Amino acid sequence: MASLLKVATSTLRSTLWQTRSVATTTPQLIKEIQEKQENNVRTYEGVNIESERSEKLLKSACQTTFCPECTLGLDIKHTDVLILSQYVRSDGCMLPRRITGLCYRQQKKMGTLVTMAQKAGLMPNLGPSWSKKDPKQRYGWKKFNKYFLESTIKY
Amino acid sequence: MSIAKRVQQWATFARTWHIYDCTWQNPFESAALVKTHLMGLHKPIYHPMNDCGDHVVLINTKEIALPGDEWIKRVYFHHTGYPGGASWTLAWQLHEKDPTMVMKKAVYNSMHGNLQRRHTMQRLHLFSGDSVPDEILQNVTNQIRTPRTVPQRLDHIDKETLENFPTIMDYPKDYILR
Amino acid sequence: MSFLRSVAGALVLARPLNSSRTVQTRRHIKRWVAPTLRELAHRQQKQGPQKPEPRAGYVEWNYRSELFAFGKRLGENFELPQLQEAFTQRSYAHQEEEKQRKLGIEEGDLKIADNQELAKMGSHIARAYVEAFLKQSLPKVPKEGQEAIASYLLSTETLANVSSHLGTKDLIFTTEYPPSPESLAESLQAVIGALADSSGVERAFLFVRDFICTQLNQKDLLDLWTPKQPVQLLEEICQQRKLGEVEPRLLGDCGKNTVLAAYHVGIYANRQLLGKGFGEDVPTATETAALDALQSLFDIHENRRPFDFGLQVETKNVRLGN
Repeated sequence: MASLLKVATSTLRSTLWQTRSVATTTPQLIKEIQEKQENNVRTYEGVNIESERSEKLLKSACQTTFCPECTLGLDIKHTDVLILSQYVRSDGCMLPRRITGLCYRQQKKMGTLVTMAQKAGLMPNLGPSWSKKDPKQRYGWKKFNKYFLESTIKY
Repeated sequence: MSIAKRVQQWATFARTWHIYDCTWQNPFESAALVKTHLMGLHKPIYHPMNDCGDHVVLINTKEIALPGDEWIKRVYFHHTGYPGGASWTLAWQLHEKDPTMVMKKAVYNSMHGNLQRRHTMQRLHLFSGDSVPDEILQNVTNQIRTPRTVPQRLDHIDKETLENFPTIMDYPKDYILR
Repeated sequence: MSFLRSVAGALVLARPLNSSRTVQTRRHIKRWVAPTLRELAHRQQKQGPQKPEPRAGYVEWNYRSELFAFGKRLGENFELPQLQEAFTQRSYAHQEEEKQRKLGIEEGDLKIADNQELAKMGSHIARAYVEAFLKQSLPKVPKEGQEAIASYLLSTETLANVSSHLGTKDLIFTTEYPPSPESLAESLQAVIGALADSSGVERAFLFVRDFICTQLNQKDLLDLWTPKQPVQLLEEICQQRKLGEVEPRLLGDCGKNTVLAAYHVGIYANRQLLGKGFGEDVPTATETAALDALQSLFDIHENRRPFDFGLQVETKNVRLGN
């Protein structure tokens, strides 16, 4: 009997394992493999593809160190989700400073603003897969609207 | 008194009907605003003994927003009058029971506790949603400007705006996008 | 014996102590005062209010000097016999004649002059001047409006009010005291007539301007004259002046479904706003809007330029008629 159960669970696990490998979106490629044929020599080369973002990029943002507040003097609030969402991964995690290119203070501040926006339910589509997409479905007091004051950020 | 004078008096003391959308508004900031209209404080003819207040229709009171974690910090006290009859209700629990109550209490508490207050409150019309009876909606002639702008959710922004919005950061060459 | 003496001494000592405890008060207002006053008040109440006593009934009363002072107070030069005639009412003259007839005075000497003639002349002058004054200061008001305002100025109440404030009450010879509004008004008209006789018509005109026309000051002219059916009147006027079709439009309303509904209506003609009005319903608001438009067309708004009471109406413009 025990051996029978073991077999059943193992098959169940294996089916689960299979379903996990299914990707819903096509991965965006940074590099493309190009194949070249030159006099009996076939070369495979990884070529950088130009980013989709490059066209929409702000000119001042192309500098090496760029912070919205330090460089442009923008006063960013937690409701400016179009800016904040650019510093966030698709699962809602803050990108590291190596990638965002923000100064130390701004990185901390942006992190807080992103948290605020997420708590206020303004970026429900950027979050882990298990999160409830609709903020109205949250548990207890969290389902009601709330906003945050930027003056409470310490840095 | 000539007819022109009589009609001038009528127009001076006419009660205007205001509408106020509570979506994403702080009830206590709103109460100060609603109170001025309810009591007629915004009128040059105002006097405490002068009955010149307006009507205010509050809609979408279930959509009010509180700052930070005030939903669990604000407590409403009630005592039945019997021993052990005290009860403390958190703001979010009260809001869950009656979505108009937090707003109503905010306006009520923003006014001084005199004999006029309950009569002034009679001119306040609260609706938890945006459906207002036609009979009331036809009276309305003015909208009170809300102090807070309603924030937009990222998933409600249309695709065109999302695509045309300038980016302020590019990913490094060796970054694996997730 | 010594014992008795000591007891008496103790009593003497004790008495002032006892008496100092009870304060003896002396009554200053006598017992009879209050009941007497009460009785007097009772009798006064029973008798009713006292009749006003004419000033002439008192000892020091010099009618001649009062007459002279009356003229000087107004800054006019009256001939005193004529002024006295102006203050003599017909009823009084009749009464005097009767008295004299009873005493057996001959018919020929009985004639006592009364103010009928002077009053007639005065009222004529006043009417002529007031009409000319209104024509000059309210040129845009139609004829019926000017007539209504003139009839207010020349009404018995207005004239009586002016007359009583000029201090004619004690100067008038009448059978009744205080003089009735009619006799007050009549004597004022007679004073105007007497002035015309003594100092000329020009002075009489200025008198009318200064004392009768000034009653218009700070008056709401709509109280004196309100056009009946203002909408129709406005339509007629717009047709005459070719201002275009009259069109009332709703500018705003509040509390439609309540008893305190208020409507705000504007009257337009040829896309020009002529006037605005309020009302508890649309017809009333339209009517008041039309009235407002008429007020601005006739220049009788409450906020119009104040009347110029220094205005000199030329004598040739005053139609005396005779």
